[in-house]
Amino acid sequence: MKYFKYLILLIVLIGSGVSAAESLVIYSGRHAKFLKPVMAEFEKQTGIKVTLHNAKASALINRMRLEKSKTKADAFISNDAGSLQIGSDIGLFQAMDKGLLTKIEKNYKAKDNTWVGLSARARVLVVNKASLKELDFVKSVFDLADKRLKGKLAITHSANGSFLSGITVYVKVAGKEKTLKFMKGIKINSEGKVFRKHSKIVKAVAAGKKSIGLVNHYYIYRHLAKNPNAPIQILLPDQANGQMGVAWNITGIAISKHTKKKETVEKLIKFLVSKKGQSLFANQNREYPIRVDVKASPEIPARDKMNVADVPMSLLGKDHSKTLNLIEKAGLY
Amino acid sequence: MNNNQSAQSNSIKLILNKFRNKILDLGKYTWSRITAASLLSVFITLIILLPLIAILFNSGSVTASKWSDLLSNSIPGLLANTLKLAIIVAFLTSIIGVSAAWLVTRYRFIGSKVVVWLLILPLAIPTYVYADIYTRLFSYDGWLGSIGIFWNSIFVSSSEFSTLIATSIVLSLASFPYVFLLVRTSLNKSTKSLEDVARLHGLSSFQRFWRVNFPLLRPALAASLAIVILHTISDFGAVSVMQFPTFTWEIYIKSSHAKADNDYGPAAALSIVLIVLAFTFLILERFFRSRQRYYADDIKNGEHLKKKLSKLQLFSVWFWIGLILVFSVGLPLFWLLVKSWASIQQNYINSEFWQYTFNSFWIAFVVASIAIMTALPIALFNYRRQSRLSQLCIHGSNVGFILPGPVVIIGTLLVFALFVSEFGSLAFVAAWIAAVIIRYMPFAVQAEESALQQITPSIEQAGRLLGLNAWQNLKRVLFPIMRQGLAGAWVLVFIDALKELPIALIINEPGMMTLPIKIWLEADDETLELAAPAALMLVFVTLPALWLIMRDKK
Repeated sequence: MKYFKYLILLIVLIGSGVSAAESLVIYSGRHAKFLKPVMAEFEKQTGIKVTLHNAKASALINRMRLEKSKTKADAFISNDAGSLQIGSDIGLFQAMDKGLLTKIEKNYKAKDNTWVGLSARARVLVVNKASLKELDFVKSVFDLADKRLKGKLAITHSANGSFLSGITVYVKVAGKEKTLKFMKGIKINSEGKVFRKHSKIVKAVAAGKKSIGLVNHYYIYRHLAKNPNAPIQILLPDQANGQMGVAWNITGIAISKHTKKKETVEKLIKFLVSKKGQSLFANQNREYPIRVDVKASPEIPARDKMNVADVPMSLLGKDHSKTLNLIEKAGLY
Repeated sequence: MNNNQSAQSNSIKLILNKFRNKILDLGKYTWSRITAASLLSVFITLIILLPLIAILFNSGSVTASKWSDLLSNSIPGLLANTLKLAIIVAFLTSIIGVSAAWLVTRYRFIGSKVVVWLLILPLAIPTYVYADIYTRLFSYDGWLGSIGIFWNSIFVSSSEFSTLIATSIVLSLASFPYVFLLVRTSLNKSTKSLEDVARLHGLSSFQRFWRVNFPLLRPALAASLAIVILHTISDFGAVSVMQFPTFTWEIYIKSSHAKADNDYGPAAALSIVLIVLAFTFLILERFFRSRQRYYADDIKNGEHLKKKLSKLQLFSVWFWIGLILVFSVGLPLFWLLVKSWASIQQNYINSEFWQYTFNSFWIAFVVASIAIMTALPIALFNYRRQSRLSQLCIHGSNVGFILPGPVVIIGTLLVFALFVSEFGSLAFVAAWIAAVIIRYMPFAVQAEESALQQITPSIEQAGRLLGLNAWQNLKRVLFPIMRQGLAGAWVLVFIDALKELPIALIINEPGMMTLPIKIWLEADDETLELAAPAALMLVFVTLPALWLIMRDKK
């Protein structure tokens, strides 16, 4: 029994990360690899130390929901707008200073200023150059359900945040029936195989095991940076007149409702939406800076030549559960 | 008339008799008097069952139309995948485990003693480590990437079929020791005279195995396969790394969606289907275990003749055993050693690493210690006065056998949420520990049961006659005798708690990173070499524990 006493003591010690210096704890769904250089720069400028706790964004939302006021998070970073809006809807966040967000378009921030986008990514197709001819009919993501692609299509698990949010956009623009039919089609074409990661899809397409895959744009360029001669290229879907445009999703940040360090988090947000912060944040991962006046990496498709689906990012959270129901109806893994 | 057949029909009669007696026996148990042990036992069992009850309640939110969606879309595919996986793994582990056990028990060859030890080593390697290593070994730039298109395409999977095969191979490599251990014991104990007669009649080695020994070891094989199958359907590590959709994996996925409330509807619904599936296997296991007895009380007989081998035979035996060892132990451990060495040189063994190791260690330590303490009243209650109630407690406490990690932790969090309005670190860590205890409780209860079974009631009665009360009796008579059994139970739970992944992963407490989480996260980034020291550490820590178990077995 006496050991138990020590155990309790130990847990309490571990649980109470008391520290005198100015510091922030961020629950982050974005990979630490991309955040660390940004946070290092922030620390250099301000002296504020940032501790990251990494996990899936959705898991972190569920954790904060259970923690309520006992949360250790001062801020929350998500690589999916869906999680940001859900957190906002269930009251996990607080509004930030409106003045910080003047440079951000309204599709990419919360109506009540509870979250703001920092970088954006496009849901695109990766194709093997050798298969370009047989794929010449593919102009839209909906063509991925075409019977001709049986066994040639690579998709991720439907629980992937980017996949889910993509579906939400398709439902919004093209309707429930068409999207359901689309998902049933890609289920057949992917032959029950789901890829663990987008990077594996790009690898499989580059190796010629699959001809085409549905991915976020930066995975293609990440692969090309490592393997410049890989026989792959990007295919932007739904670009013709009258088509919906490519689906976007964002990485964004929110301030925890229960933090006592609101001002400190706002300092961080101010840095992240500054020109320097924007460039550093987005280009770590070859994403589009959310501010139009900050340049993206030169190798990715220029944003002003890209037709983007006009969907407010908050919808990705509002329609999250509807999308889940639809995916269950389609029986996607 | 075929001898074999009549022996078989005889044995079936015996089994049926045993089974009937067992059912009739139940009638003579009575609801026992209330004692401290019985009260505690019932109380603990109820607590263990709470997460399951919470899951059952939670699935109530699933509407009829959603059930029909699930039943017509996800469930058939998941069921097919899970069953296919279980069947292939059962098949592969039988071949590997039985052949190795036969060679080790019936032939004398150089190194056969060492081989026994090496063949149980895979128990120290978690399935997610196997899965990671094999995907990397066979990837284009891996050591075996150039070995041939066939293997390459299986492990760098691009179709559902190749993923199924790759996952099956990984799970078989990790779990064949269960078959090996039980079948080896059975072969060692089997009646020597039967084999002598067969030999006199001129049966070849293979015929002696197939016609004499195989029918006799079927119960042991069935019992071990039940364990293998339960492990397979509740496996999270391999299926998550390989992305092979089974029930356990899909439950994890469905439970990890962001939610506005504590409604786990679809995950809970899938859990129920999985529980029904696993329960079927558990009943089979119980059935086969009751079968197992009839040959165990055989008369003691001389040691089996171990045949010396010719050079060619020796070569083929070593080739087969060597093949098994290379893929199940040699290659993975060598890979881990090489990558760990690289990590050490790059200074990845830092204070963080020791922190993960320490965290894993103390969690497993606490889990194992609480588990053997809480299992004791249940085992004791059933030992002192076996009754329907005590049997129910034993069955109830075994629930961890059929509940995979994700299900247990969802249930536990649901129960905690009834009492805790705001989760701090303490609540999360307590839920984590509670869930791991429930998951591995069966090991503790069973080990303690078997330790108690070796104590004749008269010893305890003598203690009572000499004036000890129940507690003194426990402390001064029972404890000293069952100390070794308790240690065995502790070790069993400790090993599995140390390797436990899905519960730790779902809790993912800030600042409480453990070795399994570290390994899984690095594997997810395809940077397993960074986690190689962590994986190696897990194996090393498990080794002494494994040694303790094997020593007890002898």
